[in-house]
Amino acid sequence: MRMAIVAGAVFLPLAFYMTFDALSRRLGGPFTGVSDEIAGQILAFGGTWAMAYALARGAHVRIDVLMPVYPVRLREVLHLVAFATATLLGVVLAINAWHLSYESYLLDARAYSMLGQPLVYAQSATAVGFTMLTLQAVAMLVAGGFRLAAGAAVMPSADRSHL
Amino acid sequence: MFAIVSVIVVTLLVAFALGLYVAVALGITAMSVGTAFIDTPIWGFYAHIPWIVNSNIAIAVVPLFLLMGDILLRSGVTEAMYETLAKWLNRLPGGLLHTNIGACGLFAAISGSSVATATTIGAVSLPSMRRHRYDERLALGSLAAGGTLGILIPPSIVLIVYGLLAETSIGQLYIAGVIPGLLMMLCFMGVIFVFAKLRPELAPQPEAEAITWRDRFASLVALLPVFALIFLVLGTIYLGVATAIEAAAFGVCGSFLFALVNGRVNLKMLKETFLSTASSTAMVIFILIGAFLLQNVLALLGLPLMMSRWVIGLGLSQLELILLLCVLYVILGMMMESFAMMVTTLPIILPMLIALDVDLVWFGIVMVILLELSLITPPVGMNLFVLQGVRMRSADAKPGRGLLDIYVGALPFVIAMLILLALVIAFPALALWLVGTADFAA
Repeated sequence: MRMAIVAGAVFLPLAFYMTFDALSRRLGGPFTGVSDEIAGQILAFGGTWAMAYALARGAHVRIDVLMPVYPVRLREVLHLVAFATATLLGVVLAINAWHLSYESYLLDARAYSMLGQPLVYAQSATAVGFTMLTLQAVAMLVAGGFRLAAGAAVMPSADRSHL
Repeated sequence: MFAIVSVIVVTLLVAFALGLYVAVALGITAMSVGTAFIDTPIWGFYAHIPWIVNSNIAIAVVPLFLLMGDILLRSGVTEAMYETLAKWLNRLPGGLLHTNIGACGLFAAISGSSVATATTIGAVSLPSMRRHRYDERLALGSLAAGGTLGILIPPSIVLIVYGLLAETSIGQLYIAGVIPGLLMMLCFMGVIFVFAKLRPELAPQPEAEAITWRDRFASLVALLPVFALIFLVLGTIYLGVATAIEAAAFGVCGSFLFALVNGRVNLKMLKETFLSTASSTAMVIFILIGAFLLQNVLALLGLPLMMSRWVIGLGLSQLELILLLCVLYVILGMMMESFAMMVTTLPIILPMLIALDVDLVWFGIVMVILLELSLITPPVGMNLFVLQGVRMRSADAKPGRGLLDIYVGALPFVIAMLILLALVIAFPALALWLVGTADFAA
C-alpha cells in the first residue's frame, strides 16, 4: 500500500511544479523548460508502482461479460485463471523491463533531452512495478487456490471508480 | 489477413469466455498473434512498448486529471453545487430531475469519470428525491444517464485514452466534446420536461419554499469554484494558454486550493486521494500497455494496410462504415464493459477509419456517445449497477427493489442519446465547429 500511496502522491508536487513552470513561462519569468521531461520520469514509477495494489483491490478491469451466467464453482476457478494469466503477462513484462534497464546500464544510455539523465533509474523503477505486480498475482493465485480448496470465495470485491 | 484477424478474434473470444483482465487479454492476444505470424522473436516489444507507455509525456495527463477528480470528490464542492442548482432549477416542470442533470453535467466537467459522477450525484440527490416523492425509476434513470456525461464532457479519461490510441490531439477532443455534452444535457432535460408535462405525478413540484431571487444569486457563489476549474482546464486549452497536460496540472492545483479553503485537506483525505489516483492510473496504464502491444504487433504484420485495402475494396462510404460501427457498438455495449469495448476494438477499426479518411476527432465523440449508451443499456451497464449500489446503500433503501427499475427508468434517456448520436453523425460540425475556432497551444 505504501508504494501505491507514493505512486499517487508524486503527482501532486508534479502538478505544483508544472503549474509554476507554465505560468512563469507565460508571464515572462524564469522557468526550467524540463517539466514535460520530469513528468515522463515520474510516470515511470507513478504509473506502475500501484499495479499490484490495484490488482489486490480488484481495480483492474476484467472482461466479465459471461461471469454472471457461469455456475459459482466455475466462476471461482476462472478467478484463478485470471490471476494465473496476469502472472504470465507480469513475468514477461518484468523480465523484459529488467533486461532493458540492464542494457541501459551497460550502455550508459541517456534520455535524448535537455537533462540527458541516465535511463537505468527510471527503467528500473518501472521494472520494480512490474515485479511487484507479478508477485501480487502469484500471491493471489496461491491464496485463492487455498481459499477455493477450503470452499471460500476467491476474488476480492471490485473497484470501478475510474470509469 | 483473415488468418491474423481470426487468431485475434478467437483469442479475444477465449479471453472473454475466461473473464481475463482487459490488459492481460490484449497482451496475450499480441503474444499469440506475434508468435504465430512474425518470424523474429517479439520479446523486444515487451521491453520497449511498456517503457514507451510509461515514459510518454502525453500519458501523464491521465494521473493528473484523475488526481484532480479525486481531490474534488473529497473537497466538499459537490453538496454546495447541488443545493445551488436545486434553487435555480426547482421551478421547472421536473424540478429536481433537472437538478440531477445539471449537477451531473457540472460534476462531469471537473471529474472525467462516469461512475464517479453517477455515484457522487446519486448519493447527494437520492434522499432528496425520495423525500419529495419522485418516481424512483425516473429519478434513477436521470442519474444513470446524467452520470454518463462524465466521459463526454471534458476532462474525460476515456477521451484521453482514445486520443492516445488514435494519436489524436487530446486538447482538440476535449473542445470537440463541449457542444455535444451540452446538447446531451439539453436532450436529457427535454425528456424530463416531457415526462413532467405528460405525467406530473412522476415528478411532483417541490413545495414552494421561500427562495427569493436574492437567495438564488447569492447561492451562485458556491458555483464559482466549479466555473473557475472549468476555465482552468477547458478555457486555458481553448485559448491556447496551456497544453492538455499543463491544463491538467492547473486543475490539480485549483482543486487542491478549493479543498484547502473548505478545510477538507488532512492526512486521511490525502491518503485516500493518492490511493485512488494511483490505483486508477495503474489500471489505465496497464490497459494502455496491452493495447499498444497489440497495436504494434499488428502494425509490424502490416494489418492496418491490409484492413485499409479491404475496406476500400468493399466500396463502403464513410457514412455506411460509421453506421455499421454504430450498430456493432450498440450491440457490443449491451454485453461489454465500455472501456474494455473501446480498447479491444480500436486497434482493428482505426485502420478502417483512416482508410476512409474519417475525422478521428469527430469519431472520438461518436465513439464516446456509443460508450455512454453502453453504460446504461442492459443487461451490462456500469452506471445501472453503480446506481443500484448507491440505492441499496442509502439509509431509506427498500429491500427487494431490483435492477429492472433502473433499466426502465433509463430507457427514455437511451432514446435521447440515440437522437443526439444521429445528430452528431448527420452534422459533424456539432463536434468540430468549436475545434476550428480554438487556438491550441503548441
